[in-house]
Amino acid sequence: MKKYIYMIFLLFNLAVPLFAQVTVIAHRDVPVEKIKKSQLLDFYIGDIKKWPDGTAVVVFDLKEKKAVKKIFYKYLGKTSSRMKSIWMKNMLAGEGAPPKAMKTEKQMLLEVASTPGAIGFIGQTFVDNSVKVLKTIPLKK
Amino acid sequence: MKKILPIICLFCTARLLAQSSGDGPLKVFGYFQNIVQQESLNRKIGVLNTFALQQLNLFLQKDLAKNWTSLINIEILNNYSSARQWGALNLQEAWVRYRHSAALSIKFGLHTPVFNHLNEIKNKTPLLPYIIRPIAYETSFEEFITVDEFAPDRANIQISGYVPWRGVKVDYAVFGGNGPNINSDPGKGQTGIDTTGTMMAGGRFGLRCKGLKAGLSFTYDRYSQLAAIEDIKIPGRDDYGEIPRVRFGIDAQYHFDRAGIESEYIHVNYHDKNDEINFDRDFFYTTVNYEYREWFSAYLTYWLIQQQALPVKSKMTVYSLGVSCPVGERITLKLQSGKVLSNTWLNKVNIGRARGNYYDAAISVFF
Repeated sequence: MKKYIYMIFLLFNLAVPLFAQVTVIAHRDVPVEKIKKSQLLDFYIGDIKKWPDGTAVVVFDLKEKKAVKKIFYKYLGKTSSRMKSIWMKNMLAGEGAPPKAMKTEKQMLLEVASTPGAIGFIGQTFVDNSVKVLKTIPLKK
Repeated sequence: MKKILPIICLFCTARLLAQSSGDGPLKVFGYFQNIVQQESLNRKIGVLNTFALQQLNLFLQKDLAKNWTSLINIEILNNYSSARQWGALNLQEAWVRYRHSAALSIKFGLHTPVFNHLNEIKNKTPLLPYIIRPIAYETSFEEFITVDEFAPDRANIQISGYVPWRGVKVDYAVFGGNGPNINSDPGKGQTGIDTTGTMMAGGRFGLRCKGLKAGLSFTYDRYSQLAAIEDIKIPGRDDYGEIPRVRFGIDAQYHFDRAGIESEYIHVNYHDKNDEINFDRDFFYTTVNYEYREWFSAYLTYWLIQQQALPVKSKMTVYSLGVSCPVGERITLKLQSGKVLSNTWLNKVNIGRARGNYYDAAISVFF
């Protein structure tokens, strides 16, 4: 019996990172291959609005409160409501509209793939060759 | 040729800056906050119960060209009705901004300048947990408190931005605008403009690092209307001339996970060489908040305001607590309760003491 319990425990520990790992994706033509946490935060809070080649940054968000979204914002060090507050402040200061929120990760993938300068985040299992992976967010155990 | 060259350069630069590729649609959005309030601050009147449309703001925003944005903000206060002479209607902002980069933005036109943390967002009810804001920022009290004495409400040109430095963002802003000597009497000429030679200059220098945001702010202008305030007139001294006024502000806030603390201090100093008058003012507030869930946050706040018009001095302290509950993306329900203590002295003798409570409930809507 103990063996089974250990096996279930081991499988559970392996399965969580496999399904919950979050990747930061971008349009294939963006002029960077990697992104730092601070740069990612600057894009999402609207402090930086352009890629190094001058292309406008188009930020996407997820509508549903899924684990992927929670992990992503926790990584940025902001709660979801804090991010909403920052976006609303930017909007009321004429700095631009909040990010377009996608209903599903699949939709996020399609939008990022088809929008020049786009950046978003999805679960690793959804990633394909249509986008560039800039970062895989490490899971804290 | 020497005279024409700068004009040609200016024209070419303007053409270069105003590339039409950034032209965008006209965006209309805004917010309003409706409240119900019970107040018992004046014993003679007793308890007051009232409903009010505390504030409504309507924004029009349009990207005019690449890097150029314009915004208009119209603000309606206190159940506004021109027919009944209730409340107020303000053109709060009408500006155009050129954003060169994160390090450099230039704003031209009427706007609320960067001064301390709360000044820029004081009127933006969806961003605030409060129903009644820290009192020096409560614009719905404008009819009876000189709110813009503490923080500058209006400026006309501003250069701002931030520079990253070793993981810290160094914010800066410098702005200019009219002095406080705005003409309100049509008999004396055009109203709404500064009819003296005075100007206001100010700025803020701040730092942002992880959850910390802090800064120092200041303004300088000259007040020339003190002699017009009848109740402080001293016999034989009708004209005090222009008195330099300096506002000094310090602000700090820190967010850690779901908790946060923010605090501000403002000192308004009149450099009057006359001992008979003293108009210095002080304001302080501190708020501690905690977001229990995305749909529920609570805060405790303390405000202190001191005003002098010697020989009269007044002091008001407010202790307040409140909760804020977002319902979906655009609606927030708010509750707030506060205890107010107020004292007034004439030549150091207490001539008025008041204490009371207020209870507010509000619905804040962003559209």
